Amino acid sequence: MSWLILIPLLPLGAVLVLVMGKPWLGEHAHKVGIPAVALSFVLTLVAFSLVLRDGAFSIPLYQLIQSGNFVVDLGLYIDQLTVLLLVLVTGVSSVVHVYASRYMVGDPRYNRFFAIIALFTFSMIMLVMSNNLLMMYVFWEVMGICSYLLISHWGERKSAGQAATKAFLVNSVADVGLGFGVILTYSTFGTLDIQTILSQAPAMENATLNLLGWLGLDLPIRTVTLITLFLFMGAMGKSAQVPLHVWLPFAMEAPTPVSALIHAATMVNAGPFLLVRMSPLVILSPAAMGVIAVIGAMTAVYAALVSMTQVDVKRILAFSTIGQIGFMIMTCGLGAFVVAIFHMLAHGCLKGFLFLSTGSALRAVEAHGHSVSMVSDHPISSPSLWPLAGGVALLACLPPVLIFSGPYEQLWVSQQFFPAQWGFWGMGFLTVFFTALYLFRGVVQLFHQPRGQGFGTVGSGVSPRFFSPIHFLGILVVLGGTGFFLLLLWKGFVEFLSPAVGHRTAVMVKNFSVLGNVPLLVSIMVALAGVVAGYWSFSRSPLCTFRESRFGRRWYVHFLNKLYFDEWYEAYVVQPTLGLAMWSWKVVDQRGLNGMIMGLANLTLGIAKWLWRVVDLKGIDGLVMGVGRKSVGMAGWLWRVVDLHGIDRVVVGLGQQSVGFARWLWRVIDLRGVDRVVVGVGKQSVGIANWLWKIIDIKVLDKNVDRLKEQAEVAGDAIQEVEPRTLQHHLLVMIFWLIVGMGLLYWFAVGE
Amino acid sequence: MTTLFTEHLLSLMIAIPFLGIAMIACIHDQEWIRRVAFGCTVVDFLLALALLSGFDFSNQGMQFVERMQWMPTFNIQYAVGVDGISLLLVMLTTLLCPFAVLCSWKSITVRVRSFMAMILLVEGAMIVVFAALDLFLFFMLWEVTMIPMYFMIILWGGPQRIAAGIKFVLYSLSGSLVLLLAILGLFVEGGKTFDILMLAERTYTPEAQFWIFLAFFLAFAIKLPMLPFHTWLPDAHSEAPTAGSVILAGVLLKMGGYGFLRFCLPMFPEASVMFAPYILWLSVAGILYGGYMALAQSDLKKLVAYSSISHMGFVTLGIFVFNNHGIQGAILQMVNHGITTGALFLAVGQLYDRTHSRAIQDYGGLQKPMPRFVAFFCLFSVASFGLPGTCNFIGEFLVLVGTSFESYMMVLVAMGGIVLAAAYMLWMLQRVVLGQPRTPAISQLSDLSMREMATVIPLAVLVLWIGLYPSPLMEMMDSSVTHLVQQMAPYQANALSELVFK
Repeated sequence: MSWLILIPLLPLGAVLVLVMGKPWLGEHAHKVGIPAVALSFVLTLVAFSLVLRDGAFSIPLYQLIQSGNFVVDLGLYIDQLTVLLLVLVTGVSSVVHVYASRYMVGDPRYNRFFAIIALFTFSMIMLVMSNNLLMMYVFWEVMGICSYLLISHWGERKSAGQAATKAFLVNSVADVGLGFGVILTYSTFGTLDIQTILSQAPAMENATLNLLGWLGLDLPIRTVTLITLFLFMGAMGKSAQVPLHVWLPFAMEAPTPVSALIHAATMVNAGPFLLVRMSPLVILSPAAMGVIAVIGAMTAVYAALVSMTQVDVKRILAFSTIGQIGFMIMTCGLGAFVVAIFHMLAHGCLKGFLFLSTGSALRAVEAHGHSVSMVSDHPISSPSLWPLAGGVALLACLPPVLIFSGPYEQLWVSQQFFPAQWGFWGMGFLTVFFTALYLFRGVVQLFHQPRGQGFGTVGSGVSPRFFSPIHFLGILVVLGGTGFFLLLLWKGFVEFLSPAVGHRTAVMVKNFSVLGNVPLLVSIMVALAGVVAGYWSFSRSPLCTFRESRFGRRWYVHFLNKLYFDEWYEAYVVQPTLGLAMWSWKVVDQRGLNGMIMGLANLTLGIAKWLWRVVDLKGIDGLVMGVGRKSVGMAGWLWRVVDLHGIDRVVVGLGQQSVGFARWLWRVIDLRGVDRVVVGVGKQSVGIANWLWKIIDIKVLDKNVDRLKEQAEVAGDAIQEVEPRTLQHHLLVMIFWLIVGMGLLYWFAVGE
Repeated sequence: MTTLFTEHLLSLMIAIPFLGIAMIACIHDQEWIRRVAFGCTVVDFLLALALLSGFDFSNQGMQFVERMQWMPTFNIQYAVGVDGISLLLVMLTTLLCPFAVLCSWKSITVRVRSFMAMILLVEGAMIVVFAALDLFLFFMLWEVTMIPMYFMIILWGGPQRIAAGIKFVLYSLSGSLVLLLAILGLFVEGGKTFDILMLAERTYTPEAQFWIFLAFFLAFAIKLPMLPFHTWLPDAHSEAPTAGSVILAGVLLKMGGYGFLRFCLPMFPEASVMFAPYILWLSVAGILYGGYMALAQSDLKKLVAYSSISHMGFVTLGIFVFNNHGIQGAILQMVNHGITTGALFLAVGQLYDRTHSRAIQDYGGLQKPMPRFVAFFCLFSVASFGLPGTCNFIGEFLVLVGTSFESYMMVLVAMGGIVLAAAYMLWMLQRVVLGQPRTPAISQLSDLSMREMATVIPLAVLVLWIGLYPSPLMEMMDSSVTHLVQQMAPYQANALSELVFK
């Protein structure tokens, strides 16, 4: 059966082909996507039949993580719940693919669109097939990023970008809960394999965890409650439950086929799916189930009231989805997991149909760029009205019939909590009433607007060819919904699904009877009352006058503004966060930490400068300069006073006198006396010199010198012959005797 | 031949960048300088693959060990070797450096030779830092990495480059100072040797542990950087040229994390356990704080830089919970952060090359003119905030699983950091990629060229591959980490942390 791995692999292959083959595929992208998803749908049907015959089975894939004792083995787990959701996912996705191939014609990012919806389909398939909480978390997030990319498909519009960011961020807040739930599950059970967890869950029923111990509080909470609540937090985000619903109405910025995928396939249904998948664990914690039921009911009533006040068709559709999912969450909280799945399938078919049939009108809205109050008057609306009306009736009547048919009340009563039963009835009927009311009203509004008010002429841009999938879905609604229910396949459905939702729930559903069931009749009456109220409100009767009253108007305005959730988040979450970020960056980081470090640096620099200026310049330099200046001053004084005044004058005076004396000397002695003597002596010496030269120099000295030269030559030869050492020896001896002689001389001299 | 090759493989890897520097010193043609530098980095990466193929995963000790006496008087030797932890970081270093060369092909036109030499120098130095088995060698090359980074910032950087460069050097030097003190202290306490393996086997007195741990911690915390010591990082990252940012964020920061794993934990287990609670809270604070800071940025590079601080918080968080999951997660987080943040800096650099602006408000509507760029940019951005299916998720998730054994509160707070990460990344994407083009010039931008595609495709493949099939990486470090955890185990029983958490 491992070939069933092709169910997710086919869409994944389509993604790869589309991404790699982008330059070649161009406008033919749908020719890759459609066959892949359609084949996957066919395989899903085969898987369905296999599960019907043999029950659940699993296909191991590979080991994702192995770190010590933390081992995550990925694998596909296919049971009754999986195949039902697979049928929904691949069925809706195939139809959406076919529809989009016409709807998106001419889009500049045609290829990208098909790649992402294939990836979206792949992640939905993997989500429902996960055998492992971590794997589920992974594809939960991949689905989130796909929706981000699809919502921002027409990203040139500012609102599309904002809507996409908002969708992902709201979900990522919720996913903190989911992620923490996964971690908590691991640290409790030591594994992330879902089936192992579910089988071990009853054993852990009474384990407690003191989450706030670090605050010094002793507040042990049952671990199963904590895990369920944290997982449910993730579900609240993805399934748009109050107060995390704000992203879904804005997600309408996506192209209509994407909205169909988000609303009809497993994107928003992921929350109920998660609860149903974990149902054996969830049912262990009545407290968590109470929270789940209350939040679901609150969402359902809230969305019903809001959608009645809205005029924008996209908002009506979005809030109707929120409300329906709220209803499913509530049924999960009441323990009616099977009902939730049944409801989910019916709602998926219906919502897919609604989106695709209003798609062309919606496209006209997109083309016009303004929202309109009503979409109607389109040629296609009348023929497809009947299956639609059937689907609405089914949706409105089905859940109460099933929930209040008896067994689920027992679950609540058995919790030994008296108000629970009243809460169950009160909440249940309120929800049933409003859901029936707005569903009927909303749908009738969509399709029965008098002609002329809409824009039938504008919406003709889409060729009629692509209405066939709508008819297909319509038929699916009729066959799947009314068929299932009216032919009383419900019991078979319960039989089929009960292995997947745990023993305890299954037993309760066993004793089911339609007739003679008072709560059942009451709930049908309530639902019918809702339908009637819807009709009234549509045809300007009591509800409209209620709207005119002062009290009514106030509430009308509140709900028209969706109870100001968006504004509240903007004012108290988004802006403060951004403000805190800016403030902490400017003050803490730049001025504080950076300032501290830079201050330290500046301090060092300052100290250095002070040292330089004060100590170095003023101190040492000043000292040196002072000394210098003093010495210069001293020198100046010395020069001025001593030198110029004293010495100079003396010198000058002396000078003057010596000059006079010198002049006298020169004139009297030099010129007259000495000069004459010298001249006389000069003349005589010249005569003597001539005589000396002639006689002594030439005759005597010259000869002697010549002789001396000869003797020196002889002596040189003699010395050359003497051995150098002997010469030194002689020299030393000579020096010795010289010294001795000189010593004797000295001694004699001193001695005397 | 083969034995000779494997015996000296690490030294060969270290030598090749230096040989490359010598080669480009002799070349005059700029184009050939680039080619040679690229060739050297690629060869180094191929050698790293050879290292990987010869690595014995079941062996927890050091492999490919080479020892040589260097300064025998002080017992200093040239000793290198890798275990599972350092192998991954060496791989990361050699992986990112070719991209650093490729991304500066067109954007660096002046002083090409010195720029390429800087890249090669820092690559060689980082390989030694990750492979060093001698404390002195480690310290010396630790210092060497700082120099090329400084010059890359001040010579080829942005408008504020001088201030950023000086800040970087001042911080690094203060870190080095305490590191030097720690090393000297360890030398004295550890029996006058610089051999890391021998030092790791000794036990130290509690007082010595306290002080030396503190000094080591301070040095590594500055490098990593941890919360109060991070202010050098945004400036240095944003002012550095693209290649500088890639190397800085991709590899250089990891030296801090590596230091914790190589020195703090095995050498001072008691001090580590004692300080752990404070470090863990500091890490968690850093995760949130970095996220908040990134949210406030109007400069693309600064946004990525602050996100690094947040991611590094996960690294210290994982290391100081002292269990397999945490430490493996932390190492994976280091590798993944290197890949995703490196890729983000590459992408921002590609934008900067076209418009010469880093301001977020100057962009918008890039989806239309640059679809290919946008696809990769989105992938790296979502990987950066840890989208499941991309690599960062595995690291962060493992760290969180590891942390959950210590304190659930910390897990919740750290997960808040992931929400913040999604917020700043998606908000940035919304302003840069979606919407209408800010100016007509934006809508005329050209899409990625083949060379630019070549820089981002391998990283994109790695992001998805590690995200979907991380087992090979985990297997690589498994035995080394297990060994480390076993070393720590006896000291955790009497941990101070019991008083602080639970």
